[in-house]
Amino acid sequence: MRTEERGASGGLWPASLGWLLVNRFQVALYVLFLPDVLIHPYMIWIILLVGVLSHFNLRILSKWLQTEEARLGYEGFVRVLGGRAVRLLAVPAAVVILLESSILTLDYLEVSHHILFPSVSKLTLLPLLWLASVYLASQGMILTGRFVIIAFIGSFWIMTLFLQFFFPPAADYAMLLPLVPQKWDDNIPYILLTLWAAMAGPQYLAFTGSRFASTSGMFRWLALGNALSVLEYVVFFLAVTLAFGPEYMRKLDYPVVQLVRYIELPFFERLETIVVPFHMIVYIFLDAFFILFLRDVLRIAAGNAGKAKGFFGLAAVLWLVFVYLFGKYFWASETRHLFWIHFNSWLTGAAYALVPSFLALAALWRKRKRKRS
Amino acid sequence: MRFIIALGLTLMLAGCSWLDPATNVLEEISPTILLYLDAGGSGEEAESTIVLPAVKNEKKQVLTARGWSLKEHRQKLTFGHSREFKSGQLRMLFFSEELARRGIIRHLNTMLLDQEISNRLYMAVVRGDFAGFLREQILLQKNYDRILYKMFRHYENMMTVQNLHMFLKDYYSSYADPNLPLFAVRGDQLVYTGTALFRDDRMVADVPAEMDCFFQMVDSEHGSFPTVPMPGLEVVLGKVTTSREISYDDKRGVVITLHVEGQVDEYAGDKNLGDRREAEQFIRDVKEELEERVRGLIRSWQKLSIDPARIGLSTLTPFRERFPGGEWRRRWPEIPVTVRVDLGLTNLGMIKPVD
Repeated sequence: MRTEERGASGGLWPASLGWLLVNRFQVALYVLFLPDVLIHPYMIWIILLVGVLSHFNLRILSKWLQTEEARLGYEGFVRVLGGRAVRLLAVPAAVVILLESSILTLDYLEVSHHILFPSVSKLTLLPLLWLASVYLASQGMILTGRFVIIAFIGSFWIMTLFLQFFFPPAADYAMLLPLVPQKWDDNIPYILLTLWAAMAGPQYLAFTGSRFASTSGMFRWLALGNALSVLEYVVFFLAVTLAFGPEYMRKLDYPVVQLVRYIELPFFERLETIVVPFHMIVYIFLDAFFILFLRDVLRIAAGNAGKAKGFFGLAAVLWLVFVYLFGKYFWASETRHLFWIHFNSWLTGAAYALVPSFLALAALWRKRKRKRS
Repeated sequence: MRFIIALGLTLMLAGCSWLDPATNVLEEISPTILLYLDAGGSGEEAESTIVLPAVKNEKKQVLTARGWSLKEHRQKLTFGHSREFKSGQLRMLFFSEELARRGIIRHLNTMLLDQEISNRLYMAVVRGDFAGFLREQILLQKNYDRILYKMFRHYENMMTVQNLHMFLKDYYSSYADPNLPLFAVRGDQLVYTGTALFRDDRMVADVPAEMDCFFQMVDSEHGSFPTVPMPGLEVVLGKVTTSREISYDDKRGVVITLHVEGQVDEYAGDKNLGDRREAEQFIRDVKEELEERVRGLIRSWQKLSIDPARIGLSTLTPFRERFPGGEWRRRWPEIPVTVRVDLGLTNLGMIKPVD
């Protein structure tokens, strides 16, 4: 915080940081969860289709990011929507941020509890994760954003472990047939929704326009991040399908994690004890981001946005308490857990669909109005 | 901030063992690597036999517990022993033939649910009194459980070796049926006697040891066999490599083409393999014998309506699934099967064939 406003910590984000931000925002939760929903091999096509849709949505997002208002930060939002509306919207925004970060974090804690520490309560890890995130967040938004590079390096290599499942004799490519379905699955609307939610996340960038040094040519970078996410989803989905087959996969919770457990290197086994903790680095990054967003939103709601000071401690504590209580009372059983992921799909899916176009339209409308007068 | 860093460092250096009520101090637990499951008496009961690992100067022991579930066995064993049993190092799971014929999915499900147990758990079916055999062997060879484990690792290409992952993949697939290696206790030896074939989770038949390599040829896309004895023709083929192609069309049914290459290692018959015509006749005989054997195997599977070699997968095409929703299982017994062997033999005896 101290250094952030002075810009002494290495300046603003370059536009090229956009692809990493988009990519890590998108894959965090769903890279583990997605194969649960996608069952038949032909659903690769649906991943690609939703990837293309997301591509066009990012185009709208980049349009918004290039407007003058987006570059101004809070002032810009006031100009577009009016001071009172911004303040009013800050309250539901805080709820959305808290809900989404709780569901994301608890889902990860659930996995690590299930795989690594089954005899310890899943909330034990929460304070540690929180400490790491708060430390990162206390360095300010600029540095937190730059941390995405480390989060990427720390977690992207996991994908390479799965490449071994693409080669025979482990892989039987007949498992992937038929590639064109004779009968579509009845669950298609739900699958589309989940996939769209899997592509969601970049909508948070709509509020970080002022952090980028320059947003011209931004779209290319956003699209690159999106394409990378699609690639990751396809690789994970194919690896899991080839390794388990569609029927067996359906019986497993988190087939991706189960597949990590199956990997055996000549000199090392039980890779999940390494891979699952490494994946936490993404969550440290995301939670730090969420805490900072929460801080900003609280400032706005309190009418304190102009000062750009304070509320960090409150945001951090509020976040911890909310996630803890949520995990304690609303996350007890596996059925609840699935319900909340479904809920999250609606929430982030809707946010991703609405936020960029809403802001872009609002900015456009304001421009027209100004021209007329 | 410094305080937080110091706290974090302390945590990292001291470990988080104080958070976890389960202790894993090696001298205080018994991580067993071998588990043998037998049908215990009547009904749902089963019997677990484990090899108790030794700490320092202790002797290895073989212990048995009985009950309706595996976890109950483990608890009973723990209560009756000074150290707690852990399944984190479990590497081999043996089933008695009786239990295998009764169905094993319930036990496999327990294994799958336990996240401590690796999916690379080797599995096998044993014929005979394996518990008694283990008791004797562990006195003779202290590391017998480890020796068995090394055997499984070594033979991953030559005999049937299956682990939990592969078994369940076949079990759940609608185009495959699982199989496991079959061992028999004969006196003081554990002998590999072929492959146990399953329908769903029940063992229904077995491929005897002398036919096992033919099963492997159909089962694996690429196989390699150091020796293939064919006593009917008084010949032993060596260094055999095979590759398999299966195709399907609606008119002709399944066509299995095996490309077999190898050399004659031993020949005791009365053909003069130095003579070209007799050599060609001999190769034709071997080819027909191979085809007949494979055909016989497949016929016996069709009779039982099982598909252990995943032949059904070849009926899938990019645009069409001919037997959706378990239809393959019903139709498979009536589908015509053609077996073709493409044989290349070298080293026909000591003398080269002359023109």
